[in-house]
Amino acid sequence: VSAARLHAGQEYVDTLDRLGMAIDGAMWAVSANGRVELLLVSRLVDRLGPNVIHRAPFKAYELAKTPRMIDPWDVTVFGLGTRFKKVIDSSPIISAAPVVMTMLGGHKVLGDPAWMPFEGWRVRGDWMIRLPPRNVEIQAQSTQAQLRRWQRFEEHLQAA
Amino acid sequence: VLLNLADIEKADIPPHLRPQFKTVLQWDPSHRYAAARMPRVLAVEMYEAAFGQEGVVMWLRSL
Repeated sequence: VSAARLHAGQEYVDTLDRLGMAIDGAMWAVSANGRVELLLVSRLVDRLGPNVIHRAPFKAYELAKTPRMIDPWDVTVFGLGTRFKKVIDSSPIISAAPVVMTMLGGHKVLGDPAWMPFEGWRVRGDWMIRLPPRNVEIQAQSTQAQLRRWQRFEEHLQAA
Repeated sequence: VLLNLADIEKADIPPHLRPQFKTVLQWDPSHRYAAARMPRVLAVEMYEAAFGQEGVVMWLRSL
């Protein structure tokens, strides 16, 4: 994933979030068959269903609200109850910070960012755009405000 | 892969059916609901995406 694409991914997530789609987690990942996709985790999937959720990225792309570099066909959305999210929850906390190793003698070496396997997907530490909180933390928050934001988002897209 | 086999470009898919196609095409085992019960709305929408009036199968059969 190029630096430009990483940047576009961050902008993409921020834009959708600002427009009204609650995005709990986001990262670039490589699938088992080598496809690179932008993975989003959203609590809204389990409330509204995937077809409703997918309408937003397609419509926002058509209306040029999101970066052209990110094709909505390359965006995959996960609900909180999926195996993918469960595996993230039970994995060690990952970080976008570069891996720094201290060698004998005290000098420091910058290592390659670690790869993390999540249910057939592989994510590099520096591909993490937004680390999703654990489900218990998300579920402790009210979803009503997020649903109202989503409703305004849909109305906004329909009116455009 | 299936779209390639059927010689269908994503651009050929009508815009109003793209969300349903995305739902069907993105599914892989990482989307399974193992410990948690799959929410009903999700199950209904997945069925609709595949077999509903505005679903993938209907459109493919209309070609």
